Amino acid sequence: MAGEANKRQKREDHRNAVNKETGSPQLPRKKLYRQRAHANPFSDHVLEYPTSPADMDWTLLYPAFTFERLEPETQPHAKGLTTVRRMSKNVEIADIGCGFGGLLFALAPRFPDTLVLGLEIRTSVTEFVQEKIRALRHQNASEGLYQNVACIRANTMKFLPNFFTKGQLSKIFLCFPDPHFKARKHKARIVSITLNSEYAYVLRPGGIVYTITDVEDLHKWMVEHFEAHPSFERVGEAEQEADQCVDIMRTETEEGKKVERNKGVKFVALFKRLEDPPWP
Amino acid sequence: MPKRPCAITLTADDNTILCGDKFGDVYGLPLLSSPEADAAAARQQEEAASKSFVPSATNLTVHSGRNRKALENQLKSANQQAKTKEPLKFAHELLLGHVSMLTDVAFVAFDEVTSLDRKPRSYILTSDRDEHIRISRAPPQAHIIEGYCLGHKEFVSKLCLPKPGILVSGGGDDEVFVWDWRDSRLIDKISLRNAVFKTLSKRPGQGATKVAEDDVTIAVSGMWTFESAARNETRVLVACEGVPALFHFSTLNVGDEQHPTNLEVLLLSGNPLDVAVLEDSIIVSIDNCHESGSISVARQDQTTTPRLQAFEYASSEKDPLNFSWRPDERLDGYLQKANSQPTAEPVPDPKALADLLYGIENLRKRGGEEAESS
Repeated sequence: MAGEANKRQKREDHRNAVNKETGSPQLPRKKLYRQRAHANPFSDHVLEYPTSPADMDWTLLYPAFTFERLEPETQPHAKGLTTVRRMSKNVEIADIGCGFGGLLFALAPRFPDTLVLGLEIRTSVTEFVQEKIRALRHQNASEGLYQNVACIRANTMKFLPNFFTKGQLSKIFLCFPDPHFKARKHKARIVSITLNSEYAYVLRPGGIVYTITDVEDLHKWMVEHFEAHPSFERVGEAEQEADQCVDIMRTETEEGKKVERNKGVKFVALFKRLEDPPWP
Repeated sequence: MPKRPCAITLTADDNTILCGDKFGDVYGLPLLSSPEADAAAARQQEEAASKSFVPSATNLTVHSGRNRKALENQLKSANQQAKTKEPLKFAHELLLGHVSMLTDVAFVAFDEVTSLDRKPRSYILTSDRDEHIRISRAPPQAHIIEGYCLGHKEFVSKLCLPKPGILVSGGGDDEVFVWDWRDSRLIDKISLRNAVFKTLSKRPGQGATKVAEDDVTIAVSGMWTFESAARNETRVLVACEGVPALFHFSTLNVGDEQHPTNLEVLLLSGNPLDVAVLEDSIIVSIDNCHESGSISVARQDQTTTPRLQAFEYASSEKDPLNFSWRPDERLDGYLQKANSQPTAEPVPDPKALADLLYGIENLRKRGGEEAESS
């Protein structure tokens, strides 16, 4: 594993090398954070995740969106008050499988008052995005930009409800997901009729799932599975094209740019979360 | 079924089987299927299977040389591929699914009286290896997730509903959790650790080494509800893998801080495998192949421990308020015939038998394997 250690050392050196003129951390270089494109969503990675959304400490990820207040101590028999840091806002936009974060960095300045979270299963790639956020926050400290974006490592196929409460999200992005071409790998796809129930759970009624892919078959698969799910309805073409996020998704994602270079086709589909029907 | 079933239950109307499998999916199947429905299902499956194979990758999406070659090969061998999966030839419906391994399924129905908003409501509760308990609506709205009960730190293996509104969940944690599950609210945690440790140190079976307290791991392998008419209370019985006892508590005071729930122990002469509840009695199936308290050491003398043992929950004559489990001699008489049957053969493969009887602890995650970079 000499190569691996080497890579880590280079990464470390680069991170510590502070820009001599400005004194701010440098943007991370992608080539130091490459990792194979696939991760098995079924295996037990050594993941960190909260037991429930209430156990998640978001304050370290979005320090600019926190405030302090006095609250009763939580230890048993304690009667005093203690200072607790709380969030002034909750995450509302999730980019599932955010990769190197192209979409995140395009969305953050466009929705400055909304918290955007990238979720990525690959460790090095997550680190890259976190480093980039650190650098961008530093570089744009005067304007206070990029304070509303963060990235964590997570397997959302298993642990989405550990992070988000019912109806917390307004937008979910599924951009260029792993196509899992082989039929026996279809269960590993990020969209399935059973997983869509979980997206419906964390999305509020009226919320939107954005999908984009260059694989026509996967596009058809996603449309078929979302349309078959009674909690979702496909968004019509006019409304889709009027949504500013669609344009960002087409042009700003890393994969979107790659497909552009290779003259590929991009398939877009949006799905709206419907109100739950009354009980039968 | 497409995958190995691992949990099964019936809906309240006794019409539908709910079957959960290792892959995390829950299917609904009619208990009594009609030939017409089965024929229709088989037709549908065959139609789906007969669609010709078209590779989903194209030259636009595949870029590396090796991948292109693979795609060419795929195109060449298209339609010659052998159908690997036998289509299901009976009526079935996919209701919901976890990506994690499913461990238990429960169905709960409330009528106008017991429902919180005075309307009939039915739910499916599912648990998985990744510490989740999910609450979904019952069919035909099983796609709607109402909530989750999150609090376990280890796998959840068993769900038990002593009353429709109260859920007891157990697994790899030291405690069983008690939930007001319609509110996703944890109301009590009952620790098994002390009782398990005491049981194991009290009865070190021959050959089994004494355990250190830190080495005790708990894997709940079964939970049952027992209604005591005589005492007018509901008790939950808990079995842990490889622990020769049943732990039990009353649901009367769960969540009441003034009256902490008292966990009682019914010591057994071997590891419990299953429990059947009869009116005021239970019949416990005992592992007489392994030493009491061990899941690997073979028992020397298999004839001394009856395989089935009956207990009744009754008060003593002297103190009518003092209830306890005592051997049910009347029932034991009936069980004698079954117990006197000789064990068929010396087990050919002891490991296979141990795996068959004790699979719960294997659900625990082993940390440290970061396999993705390989």
